Amino acid sequence: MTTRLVEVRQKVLKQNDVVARALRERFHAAGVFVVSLVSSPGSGKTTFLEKTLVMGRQRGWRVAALVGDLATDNDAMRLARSGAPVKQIVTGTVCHLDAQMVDDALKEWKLEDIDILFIENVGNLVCPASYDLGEDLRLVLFSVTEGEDKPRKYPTIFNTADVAIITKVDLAEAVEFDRVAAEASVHAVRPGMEIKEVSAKTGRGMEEWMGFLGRIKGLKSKS
Amino acid sequence: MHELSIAMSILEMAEEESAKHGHAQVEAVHVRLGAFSGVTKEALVGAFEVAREGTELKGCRLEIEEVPVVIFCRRCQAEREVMEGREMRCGVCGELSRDLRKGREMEITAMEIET
Repeated sequence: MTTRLVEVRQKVLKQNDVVARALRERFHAAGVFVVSLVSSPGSGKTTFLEKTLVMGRQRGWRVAALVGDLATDNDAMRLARSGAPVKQIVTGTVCHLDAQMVDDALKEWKLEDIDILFIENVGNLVCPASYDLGEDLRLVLFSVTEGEDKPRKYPTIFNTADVAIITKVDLAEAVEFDRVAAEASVHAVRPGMEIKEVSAKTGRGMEEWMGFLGRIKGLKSKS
Repeated sequence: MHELSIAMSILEMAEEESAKHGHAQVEAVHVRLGAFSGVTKEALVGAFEVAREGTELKGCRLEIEEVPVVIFCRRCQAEREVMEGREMRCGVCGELSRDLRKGREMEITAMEIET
């Protein structure tokens, strides 16, 4: 018996990459702009998304959302109050969404009827970093209560994201949030990254965020 | 903890490769793992040891080559490893860079197969 070294050269997540690529092609063909959201649990993803869906509908955009959650459908029920089509992806014990879960969840939807599809990942700043979901834009959210150095603690997810959303800025003063330090932390792991500050509760920053979203999606506000 | 599902993917790919060689014993799988892959070496090794039990590959080793984060530094005009702490700063001159060249890798490079 001898041992032979066989060259293989395969990505471990090639299966996910194949599905994600097919999804991205379908999204583009149907004219859907896809935005995914990642954050740690409790950073305000669902509240931010709910507000975004409501404001998107007011602008006449056809918005829809998929929401990943470990066990409950509480988030999906909250998002459905916006009137937008919402679908829950229960991941069970799995700590992230993958492209196949997104593909399965979209089976009954007609993509042509959607302008912007949001995909809310499971609350987790580690595992979702490795999985392409076919999205056009990845948002990473962190709240002022989590500390300014969050990006430095989780450089991988921040480095894979396109826009950082700082949430709960209505609490910034109370927690003595250091805006300059937070921006430096974001830019240390992702130089030049776009940063938006919002409070979904008071509405602060939301108009600017929606304007930004509309510009990159190329939609004209109808309201 | 998604290292377990990653470990299971690696084992599946090793089984496929084994089948191609007449179900030969796979002695080891060589993996390149970037510092920005989202997977840590220790967790993956632990998960692999759990996942290989009860499979035909229970004697299979996992050899991991860690790949540091490398950026292209415009000031140095060269590829450089980043500073400690995985900030996107040139390890030599400290310049920030958006140009990531290495660090996302999570790939099987080779397998040691008994023949």
